[in-house]
Amino acid sequence: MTTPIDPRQRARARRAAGVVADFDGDRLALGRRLRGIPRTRLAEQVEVSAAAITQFERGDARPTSPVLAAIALALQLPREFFLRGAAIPRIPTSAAYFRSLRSTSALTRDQALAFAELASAVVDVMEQYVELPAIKVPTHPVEEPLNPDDVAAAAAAARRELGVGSGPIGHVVRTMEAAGIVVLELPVDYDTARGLDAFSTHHTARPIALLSDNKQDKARSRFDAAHELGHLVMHPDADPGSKLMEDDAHAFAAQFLAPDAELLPDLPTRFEWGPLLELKRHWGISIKSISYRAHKSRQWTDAQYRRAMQTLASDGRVERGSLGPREEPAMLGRAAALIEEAGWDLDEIADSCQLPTAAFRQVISAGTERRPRLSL
Amino acid sequence: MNCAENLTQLLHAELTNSSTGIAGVEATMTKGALLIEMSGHRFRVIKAPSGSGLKPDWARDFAWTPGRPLRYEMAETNSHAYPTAYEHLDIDALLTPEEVGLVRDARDLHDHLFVWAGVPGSPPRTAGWIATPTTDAPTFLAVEPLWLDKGDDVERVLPVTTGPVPGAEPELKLAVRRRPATGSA
Repeated sequence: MTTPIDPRQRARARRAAGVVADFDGDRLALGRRLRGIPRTRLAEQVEVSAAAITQFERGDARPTSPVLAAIALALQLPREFFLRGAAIPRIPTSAAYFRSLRSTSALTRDQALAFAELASAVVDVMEQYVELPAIKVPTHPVEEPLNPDDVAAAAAAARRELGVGSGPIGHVVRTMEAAGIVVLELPVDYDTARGLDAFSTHHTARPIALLSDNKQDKARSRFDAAHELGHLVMHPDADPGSKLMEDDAHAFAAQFLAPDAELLPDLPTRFEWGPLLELKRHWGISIKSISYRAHKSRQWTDAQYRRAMQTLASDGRVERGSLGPREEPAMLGRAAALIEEAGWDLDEIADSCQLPTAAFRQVISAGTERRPRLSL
Repeated sequence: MNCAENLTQLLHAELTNSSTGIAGVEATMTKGALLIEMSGHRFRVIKAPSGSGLKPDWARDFAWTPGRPLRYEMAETNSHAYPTAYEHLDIDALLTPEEVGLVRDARDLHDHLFVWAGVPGSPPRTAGWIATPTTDAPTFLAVEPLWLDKGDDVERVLPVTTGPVPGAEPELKLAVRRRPATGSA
């Protein structure tokens, strides 16, 4: 049986071990937020006060070597992560457009933001080795939220400037990546983030859009991506958080994916599976979304729309006419492959910036296409 | 047959060449077999048996065996996605296949064969089909003619359409730097 150690003796022993000179408080905050752990819980695990954790994060104090070792263990990150390395930008919550604001906790949003911050640092490092597409995100600020004409005009201009032309958009996510936007899928092990639909931010060197991969539906993934593009196009300087802005982004997504002028003439006069499935396949949007447009444009009456929703609800949880797997980002995966083909070692690059190799590769994986392939 | 191999090589070269390739269409060669992927669909390019001329016997000229793994795998995948062998399930007239949920969505079928045939002559003539194989009888779920040479004339059964290809992707312009740019790494 071991004798319990007096806390004062333990504190003295820690102090004797000396503080960590090149400790980076911002990285501690990032690591804690990445793991979705509140300061109080980390303090309990490391056996220091919550105030001490706050001081470490603010740079008002530095931990001793034993405390840092305990922090590294608790957050499952290598000790080197907490030392000064590649700069990691801090994205304030007020600079990110979150959907489902009401259904996600502050901790969840903070965890997703931390992943975006880490991703921004990884992209910054990768850009030293490979040239990514030039940033060409059109901006068309909408002054007055929920002006349908302004939103439709912004969507039309975005289509034109992104070189989409008329007709259906082949790949929404790839169109965004080709315009220099970093699109990522939030890793599935971010358990607390499952209530999160998607979010985007301008606050990083490159605009970032983070999509949730918990809905394996192509129509939904295209709409989610177009929604985030809508924020980046229409709200470059506005403060996020308003429901009106979310409605704006919804309207933008609808017009961006299928402009009124092209979709409305082909709408059936009532709910009919055949024509609606055909439109779904052609435009890559859901029947639910097409029905909404038919009602919004007054081509369907309230009663017709209500019956359509009832028909869809009773037809099953998953809408019929699957378009296949969701659209996935590919830019970071392809960039990583180019770096490795050129003879550089990704793990060494991560090490040189004090970024954990596992986290570095997790970001790359979040931006990598996982297409099923047949082989002989 | 050399002609089939030449055509396969030519098609692969065209589709993978940056100037002649088509956005959203990917071609891969493995062990001499060409696989074309587009919009979530896979097309294995094969030639119809020589003896069948321009009119293959779709029920007899083709067989899916594990000895030809890709064709077999495609047929088996389709069979799972769209089973047609209902008769052994003992469904009587009380319930239709629709009511017991056995009728699937044909859009879940993603594996197809691009079959072509050629006959010598003056001029030589060719024909092509898109066929969807299954391990359930009778060998194919559907066969759709694409074109048929009729001497000087070509009958195009499916119209050639232009416009955005569903699934087409814009190019991602990435380039390796000769030496790392200055930064913190």
